[in-house]
Amino acid sequence: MRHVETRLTDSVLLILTSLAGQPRHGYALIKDIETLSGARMSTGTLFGAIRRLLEDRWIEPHEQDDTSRDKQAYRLTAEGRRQLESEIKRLEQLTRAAAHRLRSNPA
Amino acid sequence: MIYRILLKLYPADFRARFQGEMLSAHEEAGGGFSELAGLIAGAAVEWIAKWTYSPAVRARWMADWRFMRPAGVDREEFWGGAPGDLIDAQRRVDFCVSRMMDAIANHKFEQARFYSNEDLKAREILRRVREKYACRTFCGRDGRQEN
Repeated sequence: MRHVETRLTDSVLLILTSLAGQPRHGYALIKDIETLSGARMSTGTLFGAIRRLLEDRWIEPHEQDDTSRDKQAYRLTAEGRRQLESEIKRLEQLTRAAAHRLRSNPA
Repeated sequence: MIYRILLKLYPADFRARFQGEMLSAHEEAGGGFSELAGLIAGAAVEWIAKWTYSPAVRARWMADWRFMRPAGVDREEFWGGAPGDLIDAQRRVDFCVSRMMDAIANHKFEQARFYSNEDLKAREILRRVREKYACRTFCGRDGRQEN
């Protein structure tokens, strides 16, 4: 499990954001990420990231009665939520700094 | 069809875990060239991760530097004071478990059964060595404890 605070990759950030709303399986994640970012994530990128997130225990399988094994849903763990909150704080600081510089140095 | 073929580029353990889900997601979501390119890139990333992360694969092709004892440091000191035969017995158990998991991941069940039997023998030897030193736990270099 990774303990070091590192910048999340775009794919990891999008997956964690999508799962913050509710548990989702592969196809639902692809559609939700497309809605969130406007770009389509390939299944290769998605499931590679899911494999790493499962190993790091940032997400976990979510059992649902009405889904088959080929539609395994995933949900955020407490650690995953903490990592997402930490990344959101970092992005907020970055956004504030960028806005401040733009205001103080108008073109 | 092309998607199924490209899926075979992935490591066997990854396919065993995710192939069904990937096929299901691909059938629903579809996708063109970028989907296939993403699949090939994903396979390359998975192999790199496997070579650099999985102890079972790394042990097969690369020297594990964690087990390289520096010159001038004796065996007992390097392994934290544990007796040599206790270390050997523990490493034999670790080796059998690692090979057994690798065989299962690659669907080599005959080989997995062989290493399962070897694991039982190795654990019996470990039990006897532990009795010899009257120790109930073994603490490896990585801090792991087994009861």
